[in-house]
Amino acid sequence: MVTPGFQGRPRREAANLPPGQQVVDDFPILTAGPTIYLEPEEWELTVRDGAVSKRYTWESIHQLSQTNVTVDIHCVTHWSKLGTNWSGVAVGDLLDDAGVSGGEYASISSYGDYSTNMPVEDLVNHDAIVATSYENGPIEAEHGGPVRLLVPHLYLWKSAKWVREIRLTAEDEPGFWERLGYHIYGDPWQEQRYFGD
Amino acid sequence: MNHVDGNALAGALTLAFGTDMTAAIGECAHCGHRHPFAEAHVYLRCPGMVLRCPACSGLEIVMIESEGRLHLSVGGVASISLRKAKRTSASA
Amino acid sequence: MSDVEETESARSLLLDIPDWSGHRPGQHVDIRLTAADGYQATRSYSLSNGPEEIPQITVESVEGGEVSPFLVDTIRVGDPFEIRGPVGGYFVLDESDRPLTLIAGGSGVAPLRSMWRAAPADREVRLIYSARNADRMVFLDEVRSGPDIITRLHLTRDTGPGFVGGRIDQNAIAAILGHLQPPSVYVCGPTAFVESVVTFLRELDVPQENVRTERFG
Repeated sequence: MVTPGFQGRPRREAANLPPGQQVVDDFPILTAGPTIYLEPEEWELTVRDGAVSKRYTWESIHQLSQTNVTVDIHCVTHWSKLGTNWSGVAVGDLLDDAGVSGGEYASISSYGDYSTNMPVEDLVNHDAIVATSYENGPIEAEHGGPVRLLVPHLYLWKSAKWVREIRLTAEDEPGFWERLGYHIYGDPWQEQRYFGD
Repeated sequence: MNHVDGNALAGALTLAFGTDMTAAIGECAHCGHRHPFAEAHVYLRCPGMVLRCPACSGLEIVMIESEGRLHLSVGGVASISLRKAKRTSASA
Repeated sequence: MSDVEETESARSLLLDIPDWSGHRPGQHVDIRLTAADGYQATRSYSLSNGPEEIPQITVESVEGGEVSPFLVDTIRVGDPFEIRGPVGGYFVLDESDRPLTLIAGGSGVAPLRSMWRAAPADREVRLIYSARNADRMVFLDEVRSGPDIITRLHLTRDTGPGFVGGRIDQNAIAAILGHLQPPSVYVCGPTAFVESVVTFLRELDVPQENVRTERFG
């Protein structure tokens, strides 16, 4: 049943979008729980596998080689935002620096109870970064600041806000939304929104 | 505060459980707090409907609507207590 | 469906719903709007008329909102949308004879109106209602001229005769709670508003079992 004249949020079609997506110009905030508020100096990230573990702070993460990316991001709720600019550390460089290995998958945890998961390959061989800045400024708490994961080639629920731990695992361990019925991998180009898609 | 309360899920919960659940008393599986579902903290701006304990913010219920299906996760609820509806009387 | 323009930014929509068998004061409906390209948005709105009256929702336009500006400025009488309800079994008017205290923040007044219109003539009703300015107060004439409702009207960004300037604080709640018997209290408004009112009620030793709340974003 169509309601005449109803448009919804300003959105538009564009070429080269994954199926079922539309472009928005604002930056919608989606969250499954209370916003986590952390000062940069309070934030820490642990990178570990079964044997090795290394902890990073705001200061030490900035000592690694910095990367700047401009990417399109795609949310499973059908909005996409084009040309977003982020800087931080390439996850591949981070895992090398931490000296972790021997796990085909990664489980990512946030402050709070959020988590997600993916093959390590997806963290390392794409534009995936641990982001410390958005559009040349700090990342707002509502958008996952001070530090979030960004994995732009997968649906945005995989880009964990308030990232706290990256743990290499032998198995693919479903995270928060994956356990609730979202797709274990989440490729927007194959429209992998729900389990079984 | 970026949450609303369980009243906002009255319709979806009625769809899931077949009866109003806002006045039902849920027991949080994380901390044991008992509260009407109406008083839970509800997050609607996400890829699903999330209901959390008002005392500890622990996840209680998540509902995801997709094409023709409603997927419900209630692992964060230890128990539910509802008031019984009065029986209607009839006679032969 | 027909409509009533309540204020410059709010509109009441009277709904034509097949098989409607009435509602309990405080209940709401879930509505779903579908755009021509299939995009859907759902929202909940409280029924603001009394149970015996034609079902009505009162929508306040939220700046930058996806649905409310459409419902206030664009939708025309006769345009269809999907509806589910009435729903709600917690935030509904009780049938006790305790006096009634209604506490409204902004558009939270909508379900409370259903309650004051439903309350029997011999049930004492008191309303404390807070809005940014008088232009945004819906049902103002009704609350001021209604003989049976004792009111206290707060404006947070304005002032004027007949209004109290400033947010509802603990003293304001204490002033409106002057019933002889402990009242049934219903609080509705944005989450932060309801949370602060609940704190004041607790400080004033109002028994929690007599307080019902509805928080919206």
